[in-house]
Amino acid sequence: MPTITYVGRLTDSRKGLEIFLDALELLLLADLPPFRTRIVGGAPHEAALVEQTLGRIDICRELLQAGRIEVWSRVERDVLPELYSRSTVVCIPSLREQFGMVAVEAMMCGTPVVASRIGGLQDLIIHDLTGYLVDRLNPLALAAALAQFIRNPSLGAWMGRNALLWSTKRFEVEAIAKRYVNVYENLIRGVAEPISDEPCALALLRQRMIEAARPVVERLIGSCLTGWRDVSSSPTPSFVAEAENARYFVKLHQRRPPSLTCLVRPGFKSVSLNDPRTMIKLARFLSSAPIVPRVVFADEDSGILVQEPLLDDLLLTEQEAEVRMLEASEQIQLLVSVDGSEAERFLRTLQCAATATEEDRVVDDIDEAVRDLSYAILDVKLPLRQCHPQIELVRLATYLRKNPWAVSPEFGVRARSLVRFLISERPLVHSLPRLQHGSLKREHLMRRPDGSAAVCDLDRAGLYVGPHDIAHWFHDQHARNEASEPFHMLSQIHRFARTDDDRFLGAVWFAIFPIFNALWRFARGDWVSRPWEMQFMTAYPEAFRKVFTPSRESATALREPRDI
Amino acid sequence: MRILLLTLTDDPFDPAGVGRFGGSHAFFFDIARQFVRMGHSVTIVTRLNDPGKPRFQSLGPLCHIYRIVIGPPLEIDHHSLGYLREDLIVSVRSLPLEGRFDIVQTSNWLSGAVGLALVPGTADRHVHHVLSLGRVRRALGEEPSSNDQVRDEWECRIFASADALICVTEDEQNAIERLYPDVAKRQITTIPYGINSDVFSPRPGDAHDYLRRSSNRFT
Repeated sequence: MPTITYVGRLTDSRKGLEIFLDALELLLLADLPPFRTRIVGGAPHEAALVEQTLGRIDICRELLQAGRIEVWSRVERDVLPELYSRSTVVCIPSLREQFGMVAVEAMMCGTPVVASRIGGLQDLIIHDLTGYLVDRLNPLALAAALAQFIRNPSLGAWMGRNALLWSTKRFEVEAIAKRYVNVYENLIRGVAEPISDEPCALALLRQRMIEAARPVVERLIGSCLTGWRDVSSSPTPSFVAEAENARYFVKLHQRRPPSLTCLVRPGFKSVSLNDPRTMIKLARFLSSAPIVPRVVFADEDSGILVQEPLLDDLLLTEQEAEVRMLEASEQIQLLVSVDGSEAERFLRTLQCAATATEEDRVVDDIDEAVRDLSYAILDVKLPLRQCHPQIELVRLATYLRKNPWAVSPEFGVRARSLVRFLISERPLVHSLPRLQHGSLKREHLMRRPDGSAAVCDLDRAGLYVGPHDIAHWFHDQHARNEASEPFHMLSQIHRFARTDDDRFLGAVWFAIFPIFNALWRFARGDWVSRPWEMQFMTAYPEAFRKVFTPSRESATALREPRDI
Repeated sequence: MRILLLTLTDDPFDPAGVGRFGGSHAFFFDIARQFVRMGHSVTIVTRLNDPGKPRFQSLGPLCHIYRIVIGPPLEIDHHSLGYLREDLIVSVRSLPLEGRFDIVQTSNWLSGAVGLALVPGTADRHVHHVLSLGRVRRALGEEPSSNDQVRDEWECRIFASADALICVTEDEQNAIERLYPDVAKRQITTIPYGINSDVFSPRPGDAHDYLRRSSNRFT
């Protein structure tokens, strides 16, 4: 059972226990799998007071009796590692924190931390990799971030591994004592302490990940690395490795949950982890497309993928980049033809979904059908892929209805309204999915040594209904604009999509991406509704109507084909 | 090297997790032990906050701890200890400390204020561990205290005179640079607290039995 642990003083208001208890109440009332909460610290009479406070809340009283909420007073120091090691996540809701010793102790035991974005905690926790930093004094944000670990305990395991790698050497007291002695000795000798130019925490963690992978990379390529450069642009670390006479592009696939863990339904039977073996198998398969990097070596056990050399300095105009990206999408689509019995089953499931009334069932059935179809077509068991944009609308509507607390109120109201608008716009489109890149954006376009372009980061590749890649590309372009003007981008999608259904599905994908992004942010405790998103969701219906019911003149312009 | 560790508001031997004692207590204990392991001599001076504690302890040939009797021998609000500064200086100076120290390492503004008076008489160099900043407290809107002004004056004097200032995070270093603009950047070094990895490391297997045994609780 997932376990959330609070360790700290119980009567010091700066430690934020009150905020933690508010978040706990929210979590207990939410649509989540069962979890355990452990509160540790303070004198026995202080712990008894906390227990009394919890006993006044109906749901907490029951869970105290059932042993799912435990309030402990202070424990001996050597018991703490046992507690941390048995926790899915440790919570530090402090209002002020100079350092955050509990955070480091927990990370050194391989446990991630959800903490307030305050004081020293910001330098100790690497947001998204070793835990989450949430807004101070915000129980909703805290609950949302903790819910991630309850929904998917594998998130805790992945972040815990990162936390251990990050903290072990960096905070080891022996090394710290040496740094103190160094300062003392320099002062005694009158030597000025050089100002250290230490890389940021994220860069340091990546450095550790890369160094940890180095022996396997060297074994695979059969020679020693003379240097490397971090070029990561996603949670999967990647680097350019230099050997004596060769250069490679290396990716370190980790066993980790999908970014949108909040949308993975508890108990969903499909694989919900990015498995390194699957990712490598997929990369090998996709590399038959000329624009996809060639796989040189791979180690499935460690998730290390060594590809032909790629550089992140490809100079292209926006239009050239667009042409390359859409070309990549075409090449990837041509790799497979989606047919056979699993394809028929997928279509039958869609037909059933069109008349089904139970939303959760609809989403689960489609998720399973696409998982089986992916396996039949690609021979890999992919983690959850949001496959059909209209089904995603159903998933979003359900999530927003069941978890109204998990997003800011103004965002929730607007997002629900936009989802409702799109659901009512057209009946479910019964189309087969196509193999697509899944995350077409500028950073994924790289340069081969001969100057040609290659499209990397295929972690999100999979089967998608409608022109997912086109919509994602224009969404990425759009998101770079300061102001949200969906009409222009919707018109672009309209021009590139080939059929009427595709035009509509592309427009739905385009609406969904910013909502996904916002949910991803909210679920990590980043609790600010961005004006850009609010503006997008407000302007979208009008832009959609303009594009889909254009005047005669603009209709001609919209349908005019464009070469790619 | 001979190190004098002044932690007048916190006894590093008090257990963390009770009352106001947090993780920094554990750190000062751990770092002192590391210094001793590295062959340095460490003398810890703190204020007696419990009549049951010994006033002097020798923890092996390289480590001694003095608990000076200033104010009531009880745990009292450490922010209100400012008025005891002069008494603390006299008391530390009158301790039977043998020879000079290479370094006086202080933490918290009150220890820092006492530390200033010990250089150059008792120690050659003063290194101050910031521990907390009065202006950060106020910037976050915490309840004002009658000692805020005295604390602020002393913090400025310590930051101007100490040979080195140690911050535990970049955030703290940024806060000093932002809120105390007169502090020279070259004085500041950032060194995080250290944790003993022999104690804090992932534990294998199911430990419910261990927890039950160690804590006398059912889990």
